[in-house]
Amino acid sequence: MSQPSAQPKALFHGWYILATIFFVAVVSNGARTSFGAFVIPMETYFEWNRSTISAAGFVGLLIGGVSQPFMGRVLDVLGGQKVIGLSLIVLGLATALLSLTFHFLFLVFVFGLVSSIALSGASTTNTGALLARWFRRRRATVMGLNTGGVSLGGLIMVPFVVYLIQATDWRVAWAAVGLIILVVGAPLAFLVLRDDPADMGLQPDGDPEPPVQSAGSPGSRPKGPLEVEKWSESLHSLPFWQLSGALTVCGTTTAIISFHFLAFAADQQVSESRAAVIFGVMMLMNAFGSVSVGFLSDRFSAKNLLAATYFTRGLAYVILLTVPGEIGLWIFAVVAGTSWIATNPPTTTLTADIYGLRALGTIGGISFLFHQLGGASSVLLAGILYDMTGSYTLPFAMAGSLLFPAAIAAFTIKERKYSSRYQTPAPAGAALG
Amino acid sequence: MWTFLNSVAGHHADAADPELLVWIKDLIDHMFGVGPWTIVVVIGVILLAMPLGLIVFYLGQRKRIGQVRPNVTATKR
Repeated sequence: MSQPSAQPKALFHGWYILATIFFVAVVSNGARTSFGAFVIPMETYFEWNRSTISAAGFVGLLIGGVSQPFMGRVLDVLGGQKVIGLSLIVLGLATALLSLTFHFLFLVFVFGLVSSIALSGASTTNTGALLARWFRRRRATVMGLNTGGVSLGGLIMVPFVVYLIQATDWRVAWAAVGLIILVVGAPLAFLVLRDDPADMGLQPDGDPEPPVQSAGSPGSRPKGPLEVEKWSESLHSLPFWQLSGALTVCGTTTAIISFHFLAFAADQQVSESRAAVIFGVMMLMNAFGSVSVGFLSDRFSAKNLLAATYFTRGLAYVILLTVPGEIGLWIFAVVAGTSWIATNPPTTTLTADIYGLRALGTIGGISFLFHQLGGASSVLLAGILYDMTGSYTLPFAMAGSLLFPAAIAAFTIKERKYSSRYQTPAPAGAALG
Repeated sequence: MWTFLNSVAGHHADAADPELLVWIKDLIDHMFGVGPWTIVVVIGVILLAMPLGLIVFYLGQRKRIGQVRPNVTATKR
């Protein structure tokens, strides 16, 4: 017979939350990425042109960026379980409803508006804010895995949808994707997600409860000097603008390639099948880069890793513009691929470590809005410059050159001064410097 | 302005490029040469195995520990 104290040790609940959020990232972002697979079947069925159906995607892009700060605020107020769970229900219903599409405006409303807002509720910005509560020592590592789920979502869901459309039709495929989110994703979120480890009597990372230092001290969690109660307070400090400014460049330099990759590859005389392979390699490197940078950010300075990520992407742009032909694209795919979404783990970690957790969803949402604005403007500008010059050299050079100031902005963040990670627990009531 | 926005968004939107997906599909067809249902079933099983495995493991632990809050006694001193 076992003794009362020999109870089996449970796996830290934060790992279940991470696994759930990883799955949420796979299905929700995968469903979004899969929109591209529906474009040709739907425009054929309805006899729409490409611009018509793209308008729905464009509205979705705008709404997704604008709604993120608001959905982040809702998460800060209501908590992660409710917001992420309800968002998945709405996203699943909206996605399934797309199977009933009968008019272009229906697509714009359901995909561009409703599902975009719902996706913001379950985005990596919001799930990252929830994960930050559960992990402190391993914060960047779990952020990297969370972001890696987005990449994996594209790699898994897109082929699933492409072949499901081939085997059935686009209406069945929309319904199936919606049902996966609604029947599997949402219940899983409600079952497993919890807002705070303290609600379960746990500490972040599953650590033992710290010893009470003195009477009245709630614990020894170190706080940074810039930790905020309200999101607006963060706007008055330099690190927010350093992080958001760099993130704007991140959006600028990823969107421009994502949107213009195929045209650029064609300009470089690269065949369609080879371009597909190169793009696939780049997507695989995404996940590798995100997880690696996250892991390293917990062991070394997060701002240095962030700066190195921007610098690496800058080098990739230099290679893209100076090494002609297919070999340049290959090197770019490998080097840039590792940095593609790898900015997310150190950025979210630094935001959480500097500004605390109370307004993390909102602050992260505002930074994401900057990211989207940078992306949208770069795509527009690249199109204009391409039409004017007949080449991608100028727009790519302009975008790529921004990466070096972004690296400097990240590198000059005073992490040791502001990050809670570098503060030592002080006695109750003592000021932290 | 609207036409201009459409032409730009027409490159990609926030989703995967439809032309690129056609190329990738051709590549997968060439590499594996299996029917669409085979790929749908394989990926579908992988997709469902993730959450189902998680739920089974999670509920199994809760049952094993015998309480709703699994780690309370393990971490509190």
